[in-house]
Amino acid sequence: MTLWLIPALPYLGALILILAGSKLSKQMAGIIGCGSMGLSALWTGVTGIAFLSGGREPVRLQLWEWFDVAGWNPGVTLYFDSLSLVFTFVITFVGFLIHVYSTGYMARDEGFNRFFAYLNLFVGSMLMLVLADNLLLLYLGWEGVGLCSYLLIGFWYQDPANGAAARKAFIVTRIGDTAFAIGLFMLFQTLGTLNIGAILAEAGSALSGDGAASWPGGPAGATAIALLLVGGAVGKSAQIPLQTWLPDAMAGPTPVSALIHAATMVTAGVYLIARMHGIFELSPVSMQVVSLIGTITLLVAGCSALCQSDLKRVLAYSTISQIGYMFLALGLGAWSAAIFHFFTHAFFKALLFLGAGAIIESLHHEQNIFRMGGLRKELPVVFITFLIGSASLAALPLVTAGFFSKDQILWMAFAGEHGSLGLWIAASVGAFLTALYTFRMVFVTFWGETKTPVTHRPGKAMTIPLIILALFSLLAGFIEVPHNLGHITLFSSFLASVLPSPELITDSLLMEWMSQAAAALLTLGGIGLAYEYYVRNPQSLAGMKRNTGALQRFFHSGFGFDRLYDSLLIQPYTWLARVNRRDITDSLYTGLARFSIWLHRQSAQTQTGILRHYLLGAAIGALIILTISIFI
Amino acid sequence: MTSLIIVSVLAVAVLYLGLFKYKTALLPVSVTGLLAAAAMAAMDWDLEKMYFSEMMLFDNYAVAFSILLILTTLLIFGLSRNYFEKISNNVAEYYALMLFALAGGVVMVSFHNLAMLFIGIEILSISLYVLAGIRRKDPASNEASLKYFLMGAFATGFLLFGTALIYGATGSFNLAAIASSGAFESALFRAGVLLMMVGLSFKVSVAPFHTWTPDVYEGSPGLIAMFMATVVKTAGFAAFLRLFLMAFAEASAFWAITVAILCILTLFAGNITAVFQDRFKRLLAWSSVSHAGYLLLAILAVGFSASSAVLVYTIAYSLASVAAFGIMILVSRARGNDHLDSFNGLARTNPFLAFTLTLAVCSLAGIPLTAGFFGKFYVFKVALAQGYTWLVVLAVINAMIGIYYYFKVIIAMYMKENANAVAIQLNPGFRLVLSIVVFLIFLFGIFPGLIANIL
Amino acid sequence: MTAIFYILAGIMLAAACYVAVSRDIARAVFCFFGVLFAMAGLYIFALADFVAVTQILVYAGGVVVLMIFALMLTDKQLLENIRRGESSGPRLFRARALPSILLALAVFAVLLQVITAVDWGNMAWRHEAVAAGNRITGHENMVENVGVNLMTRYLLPFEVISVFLLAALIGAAYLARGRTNN
Repeated sequence: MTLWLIPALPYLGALILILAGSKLSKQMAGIIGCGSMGLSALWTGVTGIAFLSGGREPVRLQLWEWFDVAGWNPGVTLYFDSLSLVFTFVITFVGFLIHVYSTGYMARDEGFNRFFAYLNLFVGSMLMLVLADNLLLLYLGWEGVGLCSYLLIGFWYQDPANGAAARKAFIVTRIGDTAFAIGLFMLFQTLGTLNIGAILAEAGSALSGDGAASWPGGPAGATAIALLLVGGAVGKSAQIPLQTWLPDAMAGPTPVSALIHAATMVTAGVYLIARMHGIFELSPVSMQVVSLIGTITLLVAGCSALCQSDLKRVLAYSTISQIGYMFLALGLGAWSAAIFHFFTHAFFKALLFLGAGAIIESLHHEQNIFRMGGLRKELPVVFITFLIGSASLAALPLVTAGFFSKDQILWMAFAGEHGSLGLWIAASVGAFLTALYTFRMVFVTFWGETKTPVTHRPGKAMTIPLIILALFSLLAGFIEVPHNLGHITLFSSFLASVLPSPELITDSLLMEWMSQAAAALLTLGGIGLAYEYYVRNPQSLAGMKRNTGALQRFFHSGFGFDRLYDSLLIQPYTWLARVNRRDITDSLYTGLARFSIWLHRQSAQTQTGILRHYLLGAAIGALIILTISIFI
Repeated sequence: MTSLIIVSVLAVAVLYLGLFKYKTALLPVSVTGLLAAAAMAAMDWDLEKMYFSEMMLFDNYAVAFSILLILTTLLIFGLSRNYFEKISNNVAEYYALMLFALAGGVVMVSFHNLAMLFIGIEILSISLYVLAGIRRKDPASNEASLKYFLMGAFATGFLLFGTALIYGATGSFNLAAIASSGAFESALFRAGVLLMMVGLSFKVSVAPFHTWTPDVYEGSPGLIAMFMATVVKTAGFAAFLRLFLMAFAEASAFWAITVAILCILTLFAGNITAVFQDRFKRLLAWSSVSHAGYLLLAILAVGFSASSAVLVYTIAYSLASVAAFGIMILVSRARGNDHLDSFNGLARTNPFLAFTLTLAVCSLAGIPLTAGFFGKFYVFKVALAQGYTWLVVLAVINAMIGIYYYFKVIIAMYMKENANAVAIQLNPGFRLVLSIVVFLIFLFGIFPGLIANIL
Repeated sequence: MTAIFYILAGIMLAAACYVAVSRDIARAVFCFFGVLFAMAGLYIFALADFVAVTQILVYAGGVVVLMIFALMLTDKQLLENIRRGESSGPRLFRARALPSILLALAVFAVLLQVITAVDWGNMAWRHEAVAAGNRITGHENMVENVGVNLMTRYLLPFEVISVFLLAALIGAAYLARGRTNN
């Protein structure tokens, strides 16, 4: 079994680029970066086909035993099943396309080789994360991608703002990671293992027994672990209340935003929850928390996206909002729906970011959409692909991938076991908002008169990935079609061996039609509203701006979370740090240091060099040792 | 047993080569002989052979430590090309004496009779007394030799007295007979055990019997100090553990507290005194004292896994010490002394040396991804399994103190500048040995299972 | 018989004490000779006649003679300097030696404690040896006994000691070699 090649190839590429980075030409670095990724993607394909044509049996490949302590022996072990395959496929395939794109996008950058080294390192770690057989290895990949995210957000480190954004991303996600780590400790305390299979088996047997009561840690223990895992997922996937880092993370190069902050890393939280679904099934409370977080996030981020003027920030908020949908689906127990949305989202969101990158690049790093306009004719390929991506994001009915995946979530919110009318309404409002902000962005950018001249046009390295991703954004949805429209369940039945399928409380065909119709109407309505305001009747905007200025500013600031955290946490902390400049606890350590120095002086006096003293010391020591024997 | 014979005969053969002035053949012959000895030792694996009315037992423990000692000597020989020639014309004697010392070490790790333990220790020691004073014109070397000899003789007295008392209490020198004698309550036996402990503590520099260590290391030639820190310490601890494991394990209740006290004393004496040393060789000497403290932790846990822990620890420690002492030799030769300031700017002039030394001191300090981390890890683990949590806490505090002084040399190499430093020339032997050491430190730091499951 | 034992023991202890406190090296060496000789007598009491003879041959005949040679070959001026430094003080020992004396007494006390705590007559291995008839009556040929044991049971230590002696010999030869050749 050569499964290990999949993560090993990107790691190897990273190693070569790091060690020989400065000596390689840009061309060579590009070949190594893309080549290793391409081979990895190819190998994923080969492995995937073997997996599909075989018995679809999960593969466990122990590379080596990491260590063995007191019966705990986490191995560096890869685990390959259908869930891993979906993630691995997206990571390597989209990753490869973004690598190719980057050779065009970063061509004139000085840090070209460094960029590819980081990017390869990221892909390797991300693959480790999704292929890990135990949570310890998963955590290693988890922290690895966090580190790469930090390095790549701050890639242009000469600008202090980028460094600050990188730090913010690192620190905020660290809060979630801490929760995650504590969750792992609790899991280990409860079960004595971090092996995912063993944990799920334990959870499964508890579930088929008398529920959470037969879980070794009791229902409260299961809930605590599940909530701590959610904490980790929330941090990584930029959900409320830890979402504030993602919009700032747009400081990184655009391919990074596409790969890390849209397609792959930020969905690691989704993967984690889906992977550990057994524990969540034991704890209904945690499921409700997940769906609540998802719902609030998708609405808040949708509103915020509506008022952004920076192209990439619109997309960032839209990412947060779409991951909110995935969380909602996870909380509903619609595991495969969440993964399906991840799958389609990866394509269209990567496409949108890459398209945005192409626009920004050709407008000489202009990111404000209100200084763009009329790009429809200037950049036709980008326009068409961007439009396809937007349609998919807005879930344009029947023809786009986004429609099928989002429809599934909406239907589960209504008809699923844990669904409710409230959740459905919230999700539908979210769909409306999505359509509105997406097409606001499209219309402002591509319609109207030209405001900034196009300086140069994207080359083939950039447009070909766009076209491929656009095709996927249209077609990827047809592998899972609701039963009233054709009933194709390739995706969910593929995942059925890993993820349980949800129970429906109603299977009324009429309700399903109505739900779809409502969603379609809301989407079209959103697009129409955007057309009305931004193409046909732009002057009406001015009036609205006057009336709702405060609300818009509030939305624009992302519901003021940054200011809230600033005054709630950062200000008091810096105040405390200022007050306690001569750290009180420090005196303990300086005292310890002084004590050590004193102790050292004393012990240094034994180094007289006089043999007689040495012998005297030794004899006294021997005497004391002998005396001990008498008294024991 | 065959390996012991090969090593002894090799020493004599080397003397003959010296006599007939085949100086160029010395190193190849020694290396070949040592490889043969290691191979012969490996052949005894799993055979559990007793030799000569139970005088020696070549069990897996003996085989593993014999091979470790032989291979470490091999590494040191790899560095010794052109080294002894600078000291004197009679090079053959160095090789012969080191081989004799190695033979003593092999006896020490495979004895099954107290008489053999004593003879093994004495063969090792007498060779080292001479080796320490091998720079005859150097007063420091003479002083080191004499101090080592006098202290060693003192220790031998304790060892012999203890052996005699144990014979008196049990009527046998045989380890198995002692273990089954049932005389553990006897005061004679107890006094004997403690006296032997004192004697062995001298040899492995456990406080308060460590005082000779820094002076002797400092006065001895660098390569000999390296030999003391690696082969002698490994053999000493292997013998210590073997004795207490095979003969005194049943009586551990009464000597454990003594070992615990010695352990704390050694840890603090070694680490605290090392903190402000400004000579690297002396620093390494004190650090070698502190490592004896960590190893004592494993002795406390005379269980099944203690030998494994000691093996991992000594492998890691020997590797790191070979690198640290080797680079110390290079630097002090090129820059006149082994003061920490001499290491300034080494990262710029010799990145490979700086990296190797960084790795070595990280391994000594027990930083993860190096072999030293797992050495400490397993030692702590066996101590914890025996319930010595408080002791492990103290040991961890000491490990943190250790990081302070180990990193001083890293700071010197990477953060301080030396404007007139020139690159140090490496001969191929050094390059090869240091590369092997770097590889192995990483290998065992990432795949500790390779060595942790041998015993 | 017992009286002779105590006389020998007394001689030995007194001589040993004098060796320890004496400030005159020559006298100390001669008293040391007395210690060794008296000890040989004690070995005979333990029915170890071979050891007693070896003791006289090796220590009295070899080691002490070596010491006297060393004393005679040492630079006279050096000895004179030491003697001058010593003659100003008290005859036997000085106040700064007090810790050593206390230490010696303490070690003695501990050993005494050990000795009194041992039930000498009742050791398991002695009973076994007596029961097996494995005891020395004084009529055996001890030399033969030692020889046979060295060549059978203790063959390996006997052989390995040759390695030890060889190492010592080479070391001595190296250290004592003339200094002209390098």
